[in-house]
Amino acid sequence: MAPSHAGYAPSLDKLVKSLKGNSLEQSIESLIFLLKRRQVSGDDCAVVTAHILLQVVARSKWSDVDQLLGRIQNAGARLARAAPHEPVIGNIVRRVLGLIRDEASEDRNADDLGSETASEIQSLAPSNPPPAQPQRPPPVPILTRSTTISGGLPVSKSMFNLLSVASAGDSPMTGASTPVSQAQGASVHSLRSEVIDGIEEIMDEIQQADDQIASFADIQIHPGEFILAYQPTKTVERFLVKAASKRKFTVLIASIAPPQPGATEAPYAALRKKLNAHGVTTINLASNGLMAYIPRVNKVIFGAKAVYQNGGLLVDSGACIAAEAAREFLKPVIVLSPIYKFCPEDPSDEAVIGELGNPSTFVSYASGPQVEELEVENTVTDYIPPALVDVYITNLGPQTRHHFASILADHYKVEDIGYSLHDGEV
Amino acid sequence: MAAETNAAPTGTPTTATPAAAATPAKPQAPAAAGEEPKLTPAQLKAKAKAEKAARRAQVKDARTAAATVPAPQQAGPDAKGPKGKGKPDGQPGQNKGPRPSMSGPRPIIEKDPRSTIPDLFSHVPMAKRVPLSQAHKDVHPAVLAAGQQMAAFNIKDSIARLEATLLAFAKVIEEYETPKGNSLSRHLIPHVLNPQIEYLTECRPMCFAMGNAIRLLKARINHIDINAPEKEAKEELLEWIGILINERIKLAEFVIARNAAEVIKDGATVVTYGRHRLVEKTVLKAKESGKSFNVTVIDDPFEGGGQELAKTLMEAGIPVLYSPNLGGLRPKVAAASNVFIGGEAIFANGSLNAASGTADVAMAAQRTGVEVIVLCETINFDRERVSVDSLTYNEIDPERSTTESFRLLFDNTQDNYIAGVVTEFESGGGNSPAQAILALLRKQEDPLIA
Amino acid sequence: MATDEPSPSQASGLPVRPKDQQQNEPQSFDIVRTYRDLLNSDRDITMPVAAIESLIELMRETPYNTAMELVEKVRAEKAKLIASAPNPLPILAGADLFEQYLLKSLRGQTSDTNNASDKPLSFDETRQHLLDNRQLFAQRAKAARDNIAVWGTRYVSDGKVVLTMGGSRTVTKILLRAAQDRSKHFKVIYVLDGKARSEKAVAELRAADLEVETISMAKIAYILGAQKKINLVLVGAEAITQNGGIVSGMGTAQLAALTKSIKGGMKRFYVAAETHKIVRKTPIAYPILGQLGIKQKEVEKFENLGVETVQDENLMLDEQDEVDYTEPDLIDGFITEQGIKMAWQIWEFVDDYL
Repeated sequence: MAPSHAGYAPSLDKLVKSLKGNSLEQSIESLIFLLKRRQVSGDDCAVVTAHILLQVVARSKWSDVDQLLGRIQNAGARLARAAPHEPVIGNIVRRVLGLIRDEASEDRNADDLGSETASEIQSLAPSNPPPAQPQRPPPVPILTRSTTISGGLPVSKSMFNLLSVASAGDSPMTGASTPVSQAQGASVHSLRSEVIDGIEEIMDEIQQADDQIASFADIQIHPGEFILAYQPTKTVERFLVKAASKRKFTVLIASIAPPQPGATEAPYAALRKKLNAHGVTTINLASNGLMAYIPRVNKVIFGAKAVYQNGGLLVDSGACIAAEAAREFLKPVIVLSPIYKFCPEDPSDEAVIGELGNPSTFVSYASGPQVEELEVENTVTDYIPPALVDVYITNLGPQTRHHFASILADHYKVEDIGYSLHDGEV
Repeated sequence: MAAETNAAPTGTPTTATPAAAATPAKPQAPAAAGEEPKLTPAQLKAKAKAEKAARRAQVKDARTAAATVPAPQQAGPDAKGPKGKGKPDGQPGQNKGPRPSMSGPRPIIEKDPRSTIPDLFSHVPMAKRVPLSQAHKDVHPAVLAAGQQMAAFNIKDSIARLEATLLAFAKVIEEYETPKGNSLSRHLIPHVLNPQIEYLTECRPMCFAMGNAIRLLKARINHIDINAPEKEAKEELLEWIGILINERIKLAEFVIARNAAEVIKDGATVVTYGRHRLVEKTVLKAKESGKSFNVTVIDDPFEGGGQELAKTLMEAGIPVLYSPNLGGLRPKVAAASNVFIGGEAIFANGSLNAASGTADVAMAAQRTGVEVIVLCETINFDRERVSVDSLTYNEIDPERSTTESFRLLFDNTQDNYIAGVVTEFESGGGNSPAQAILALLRKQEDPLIA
Repeated sequence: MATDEPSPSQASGLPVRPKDQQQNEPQSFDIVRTYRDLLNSDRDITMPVAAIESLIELMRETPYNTAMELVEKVRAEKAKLIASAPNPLPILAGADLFEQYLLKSLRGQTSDTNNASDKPLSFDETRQHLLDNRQLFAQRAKAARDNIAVWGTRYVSDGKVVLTMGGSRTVTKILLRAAQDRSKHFKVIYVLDGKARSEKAVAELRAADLEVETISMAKIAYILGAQKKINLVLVGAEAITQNGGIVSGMGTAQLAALTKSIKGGMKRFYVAAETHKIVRKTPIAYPILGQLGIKQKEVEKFENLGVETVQDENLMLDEQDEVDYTEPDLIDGFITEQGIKMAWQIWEFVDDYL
């Protein structure tokens, strides 16, 4: 997968441009189509999701915060379900939802709404009509189907909820559990532009993440080291090239499969050229198994598709081989992941088992009728348990999983954490 | 694997100690050649005995040394880097003598493919195609053909290579005539067999089975009475080769497949990696006996043999799940009842030398609580060398190692990842831990006498 | 919001209160008896919540001049209550929470977040809020269990087997809730530890048409190795130590250790527990349980195992049960009413105290 990243970039630009010309619905549909066919994948998903959500904010009709939250959730869930193997879509949706909540509550304070309005909003919660039922933000997926739960989920991480005055556990929770104003008129207008600004900031963050991660490269890679880079993504490439500008070392590049027959370029030719130009030796390993090479390697580096709450990783398949082998020989495993890939949830069973890809690329169906009966299981994502990872390098610096909770708390609202886009009946 | 280029078992210990002088028959130096006839038969016999005693002592030494001092063995491959030095009983300098014509073109052939090999792997040997015109004039046509096929990896499995070697050597022996004034047991090895072995090694580093068989063959030849008539001696040798092929190859394969098939239970899911002859035979055997089970074939996409295996099994009516690569290895292995792996060789420390990627599969299996069963003939067991990593005895894949990529053919799987090894030994159940089999092998025969 | 509705007299729906009011002068308020009566009267109430309710009653009965005076009284009674139980951790968890909440109000940190003004409550207001809402807290605690069931259901997978033990009500609730989901067909293996509540849990699950297999403690290792369909090992806890370990019914540590060490399948060990079970204790010294204040016979002294018999017929059966301590390393996560937490995240809850 990784080598083809570059190939997607132009189509990404084109796609983003086309969003402006098409209707919102058309844009969403066409993106869903591309996601389902995996023509948009990996890091691009984050960018594209942000673009789409920006369009939702800018162009869909909404008259209050709840409606806006509903629209975002609706669009987000459709995208996420089109690509269940790309949790980053859900992350961006959650980020935007949190952003809206923040802006709305700032508005509320700015507007200096009296307690009268606030209590009115409290009472609004259960009977809030504008968003259609399916758009009600479910704090937990099952909640949408649930009638037996008397209370919603508390909104803050505190043991004092039990004793607090706030009705944390007592009223059904909606997206507006943090009381938000019914933005009207000018207020809608200002909220719209504030949220759009916020989404643009998220886009900037996505765009700058790789460079920020790369700035930690020379701390991690030392002179003379042998680095195993597993299917280097754009993030990893930038990291290695940055390190190469300061140090001499050797990079072993491994990947899950040989280049497709007829590939015009050797795998990672561009990366190798850049590294070689800096005097860094590169070795392409034409091997699936890595146990043979790890003893010679000092560190293993790869990028993650997503980092789960427990510190486990979703990766392009094969990276698990590198991580497992590294553990066997006690070599550090360094994972590069921008913060926006940190998911505020545990991996699902499906994620742990791995996502199945299209087998046709691996088996030539021309080779006879027997092959067609052959059940081909081509896993395209792997799950790496947290115990196999030593360091996570993010755009906010190196992290260990013990600090994830605060990272997640900084980036997601508790209301949105339980909102699982894959299972939600939206 | 480099050291086994040295026709290892005999090679390493003998060259490693001064007692190597006990093998004076080998030197091709004129002086040595002239010395030989002067010895009386009785002297020779005495000498042979002394030699044998010395070698036994060395073997014992090596056994104990092997565990603690891997250094000399590693030195073998390291030193070997530039070219096939340390041939069977290695006198590289003298070897050059007889064929000065080759030293010219040789570096060119060698340098070309090896020049792209990264420095950190430069000690690992690699097969290479030796143009027929450059082969030693003494190399027998049958050996030439076998060597070419090995270099081209048309014959690549250790046992297939062993069989090809033995059959070719049988031809060599058949057509061998002892020169006047020589005896077969004194002349055959240094003047006829060694150039053959050297050539084969040059084509592709020798596998452990070949090393073992050649060691046995040499011991056999040394054992022949110096006064025995040539015809009788040749017949004895040919018969011995026939028995070796029958027992250690044909019968072994049958017994292993039968015993391993018994491990497969109805409803089981068997995982295997790549394609190995013994695993294929085993699975087909289990199917023949009426069991119904699934096989998950995990392939090495750089090799692709698994796809062939999957097809074969499908045709036999076995439901096959085919995984084109190691992606999702953990869950796939976790779902299995057993993992079956074919072995290329097993070292004295019980570690397994097998197709590259095997170690990753075995580790995943062990970590998910699935037993790994290795299928391997005892002729592939090396009782003297130990391997703790994959870079001590290995081979570079000549086909896939280019300027663009690099690949080792094998990797090393520690014995703690292996639940049992199925060999042709029947006593005590075929499937015992490698160490138990090594112990059996040690008891079973003196390593020098077949 | 039921804030203003129940007047103190109305809130006394529990059988214990009238007795208290009729028979006891404030001076003769017996916190231990209040606590036990509460537990006896309501099977669903957790020990920490019972402790909190007892302390609320104490406040109601205690006249005071200064806030500190009341806080001191609460502390003294809390100590009494803690001393009364063989396993004081659940009480400690609830009582600590309560005490800290009072202290927060002294610092002006309690507020009515319903009110947009965010004006801090005075100590007296805080006290009144606590008195008024005693029942609400109990409801919240029960709602917390419902929320845990919502989160926990996610971890029960179709076609898989859940292994559990200990008769935790929270765990039972998760499984019952998961059973309602028609798209999930799962089975349960229940380790019987000889406790009545485990039997009861099994009966409850079976009544919900769940397929439950029961095994003895001796079979745990065997089952974990042989039954590859187990993907979730789920237990409850009596208390969560702040380092992310748990104190739970005897056998839990064994189950956790075996889950981690026995290979085969892909199993996760999860603890379902309310955050109000977190105690501000970190076991760092040997013997761990003794250090945590649990009065259990000390194995290291080669005493016969068992709980130190406390001569009190009022003791709840649960309290007589032996407990063990499970290290955070063995726990993959906590299912709390506030979502899924990793063991290392438990600290953060305690941070709130600071």
